Amino acid sequence: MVKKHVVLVALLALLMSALAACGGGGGGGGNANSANLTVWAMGAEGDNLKTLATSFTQQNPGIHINVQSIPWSDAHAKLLTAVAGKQTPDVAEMGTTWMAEFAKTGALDTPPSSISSSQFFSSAWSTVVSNGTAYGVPWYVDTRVLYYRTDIAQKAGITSPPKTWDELLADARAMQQKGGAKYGISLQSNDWEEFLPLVWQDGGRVYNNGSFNFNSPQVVDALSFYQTFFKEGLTPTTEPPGFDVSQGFIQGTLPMFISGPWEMGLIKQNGGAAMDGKWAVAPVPGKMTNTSFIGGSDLVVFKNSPNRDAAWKFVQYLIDPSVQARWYSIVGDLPAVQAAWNSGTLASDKNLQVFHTQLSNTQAPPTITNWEQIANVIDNDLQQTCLGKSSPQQAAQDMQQKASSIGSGQ
Amino acid sequence: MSQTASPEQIIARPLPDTVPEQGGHRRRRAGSWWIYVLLTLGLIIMVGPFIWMVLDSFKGQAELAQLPPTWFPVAPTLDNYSKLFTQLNFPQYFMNSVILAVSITILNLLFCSMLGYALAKLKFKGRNALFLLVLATLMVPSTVTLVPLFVLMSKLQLVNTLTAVILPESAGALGVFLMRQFMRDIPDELLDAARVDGASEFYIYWRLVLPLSGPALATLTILTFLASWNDFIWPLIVLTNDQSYNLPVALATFAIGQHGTDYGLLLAGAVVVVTPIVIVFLLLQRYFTQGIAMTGLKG
Amino acid sequence: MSSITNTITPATEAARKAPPPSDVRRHNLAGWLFATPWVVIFVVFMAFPIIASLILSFTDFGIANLQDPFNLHFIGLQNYGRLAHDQLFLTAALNTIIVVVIGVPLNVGLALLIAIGVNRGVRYVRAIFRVGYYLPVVTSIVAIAVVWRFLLDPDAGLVDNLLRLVGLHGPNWLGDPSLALPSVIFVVIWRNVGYAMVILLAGLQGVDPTLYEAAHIDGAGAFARFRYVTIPMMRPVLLFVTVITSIGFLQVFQEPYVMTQGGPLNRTLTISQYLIQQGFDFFNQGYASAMAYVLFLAIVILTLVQFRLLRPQT
Repeated sequence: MVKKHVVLVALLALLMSALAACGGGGGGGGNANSANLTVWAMGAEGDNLKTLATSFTQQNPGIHINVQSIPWSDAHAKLLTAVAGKQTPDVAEMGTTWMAEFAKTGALDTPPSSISSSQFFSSAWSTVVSNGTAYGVPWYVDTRVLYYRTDIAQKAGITSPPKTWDELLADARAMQQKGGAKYGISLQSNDWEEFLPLVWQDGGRVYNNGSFNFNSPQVVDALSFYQTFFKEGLTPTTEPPGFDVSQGFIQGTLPMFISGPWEMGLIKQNGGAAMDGKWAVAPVPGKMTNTSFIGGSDLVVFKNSPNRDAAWKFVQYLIDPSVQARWYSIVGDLPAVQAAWNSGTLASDKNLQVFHTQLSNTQAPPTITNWEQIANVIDNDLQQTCLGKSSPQQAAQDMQQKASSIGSGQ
Repeated sequence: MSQTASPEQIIARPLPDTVPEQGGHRRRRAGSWWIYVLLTLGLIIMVGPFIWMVLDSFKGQAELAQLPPTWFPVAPTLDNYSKLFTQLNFPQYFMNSVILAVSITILNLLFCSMLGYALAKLKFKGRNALFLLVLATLMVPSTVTLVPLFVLMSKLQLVNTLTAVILPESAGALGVFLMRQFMRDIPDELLDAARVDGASEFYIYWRLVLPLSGPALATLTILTFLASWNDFIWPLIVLTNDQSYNLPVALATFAIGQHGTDYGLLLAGAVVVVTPIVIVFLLLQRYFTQGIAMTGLKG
Repeated sequence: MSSITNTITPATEAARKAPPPSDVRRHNLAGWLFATPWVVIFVVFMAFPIIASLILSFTDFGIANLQDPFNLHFIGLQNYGRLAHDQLFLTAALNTIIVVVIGVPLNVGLALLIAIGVNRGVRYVRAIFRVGYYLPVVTSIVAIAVVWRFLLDPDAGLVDNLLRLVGLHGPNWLGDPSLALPSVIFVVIWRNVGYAMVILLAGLQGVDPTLYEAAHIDGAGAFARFRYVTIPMMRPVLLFVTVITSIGFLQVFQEPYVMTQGGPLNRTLTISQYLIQQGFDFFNQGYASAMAYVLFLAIVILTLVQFRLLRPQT
């Protein structure tokens, strides 16, 4: 047995010696005033970051920035292979749910002490902390609020947005029966991001101190509640291709939905002036609390970068409150830095005020390495429950069993 | 199959397209109109979605999201196509795709025909084992090699180069199989005669065998060009700088966002990506048929 | 198989049978020289990753090993054992088997029928059909999947709208757990039948027409001609097409990935999809490698079985 291992290791060593990652040479601080930085960003951020990069270079003439845009659908794989091949950029945008995983690889640099955590929303900061250490900084956030058609609500006899679970259910029923809408609300049958906040609102936590807690009354309650909408036909069970909930919202088939700030732009764009005054946003309804989901992206600097100092300089530029506010005006991303909300549109727009209020009552999923796998388990069991193939108790038990066998990975 | 004729006569056999109609003429022709109906129905099913795709590429954002959907664009627009040039650096990606496809095709034609010739016409030690190895390669799922391949490329300092895409794909197994099968039918007497005249193996390969292998080379060209043109997964992983993206990767990058997909852009891009392929196929399809016919039958 | 026989004199025949030793050496050298480019590429870019993957399948290589690949933890056959109990893997395996068992015969059978039909036509008609049926093969899968998702949508899609015209209520093709896999198989066949058809068509055109005439004179009807002339003569091509189609279908990935993401309820999850999810989304490379090798084994076994069954009898 030992001999076989030796042979296998030797063979692999021979093969892998051509790839020995140790030849990377490690990174360095570099010159904080003169560098060529490579920055990876996804989607709309990737498309627009050049604008901020240009401004930064104007203020810091020695530092040139090359922004690379990579698709969201493959960003995770690309980042992984980049780390594997020691081909990482200097700075990268990182999905909040990926932080723990990449922290575990040892590839991420810790932020300098000059960046204080208190400037961010506390739930946003929690996304960068793994095993007690911070591995990046929050860049922008998003949270989910309730969008609803005020005219359909009025027709259904609803006078104010729902604040509790019971009210949400009643309102959905009313909008469908009396408001003339085809459905009461738009919910996804397999999206843990829509479901998990319900558990938090009921006072539950699915992960605590190294162990999972799916087999709890809060999870079962949340599953039951979520399932009700599907059982009563209050929400469609599948999405058509090209599904854009704003279309259904505008047409009146989906009078309520829970989503992030990007939908506001879509509603204005697709619905035009005809939609003015017919909709509003409100904080999500709750039970014990009305905690919502916080997402967004963080910024990381890679240890392998030879220009770490310059890289953190760019990061600090991006989290400056005025730059954060400017970024909002370019792309519509909500600032993670609290001070950025104090002036301009972010302070005055009444819809944005709702988001601001909600942001102080949010939670992020546990920052653990295996979260993606756990989320996958939740998606599967959630769908089973919504489509009636499994009871809430069975689903909760299944989640617990599978999650425990996958482990946290910490 | 059992004719006796000279090699030149046989190689110069008329193209399959001109094979005379088979027996039972008039009776069968009259009764076979329903076959045409069925086939045309099938053709509509085959081509219909493609036509729909082309029509959709001329629709604007709003019209695309409309329910129920419109068939012909109510307000046709070239928006999506212009976005290909404004939002994407289209000429660059097109160029990259061309470079990749042409390089990979040429290298395959070269390497596979060389090995095919050796396997078909040169008796050397280990020949059968090598052929079996080539065939075995066909059975290896592509997912097996992705990560080790990437780490290898990074060690060779080739990440984000077109070379990194070209090299692993420059020696395919199907190509060897095609070439070997085809070349086996080239009469040995022809080659022996040349050898007796003092020709080197390379001369024989280059001046005699290759010219006679036209149909097989054409077939290989189509298959390889097509595969490389639509290649997505490996280029996506190994190309990190959007200067070097090929068309499929560029399309995915810029069309699929975090919270929604720009379907108009995607479809317009798809139409543009498929057009060269269709042209290549139209031009070479006769040889394609001939090539397959002469190799596939020989088991 | 009969290679083209020509008039051979006893002298050349004898010369061919017993080549002089220098010729043998020359052939050996030339053979390997010609083989070298292909073999070098193969060893570096194919053989090495394959072996590395195999070794990885005996480890728990994961995210922690990303920057530290030497710190390997060998776990023997644990990954393989885990596969046997992994509900998702078993589901994926079942779905993949269904795709192959139903899809391959349908694909090859349809392709053959279409090829026979097209073969009857005159030249330009044949060309039109050939290009038309091949079109789905060359179009980008992302676009195809998007188009079919639109077409199959219960509210907005053309298919259900057409059904509604004749008074039928079209189901939710891609959203109904029991209909999703058949719908995906349909699109997979739609996409691949052209490839098989073109090859089979070429094969058909190589069949000696005098054989058909002879059979017709002997009184054989259309079906008998099909059975006793077409099929036997087409055996090698049929074998080739069946093997290639099977290898492809066993690895089916793009159609279900883009159209249904493996859902609903994982009813369209295939082995390749699960493999990529484990290997690239979760970076459980050891586990994914084990899965890749199981897939490899399946391909080998299926191919060998097909060779046994469909081997042309000479």
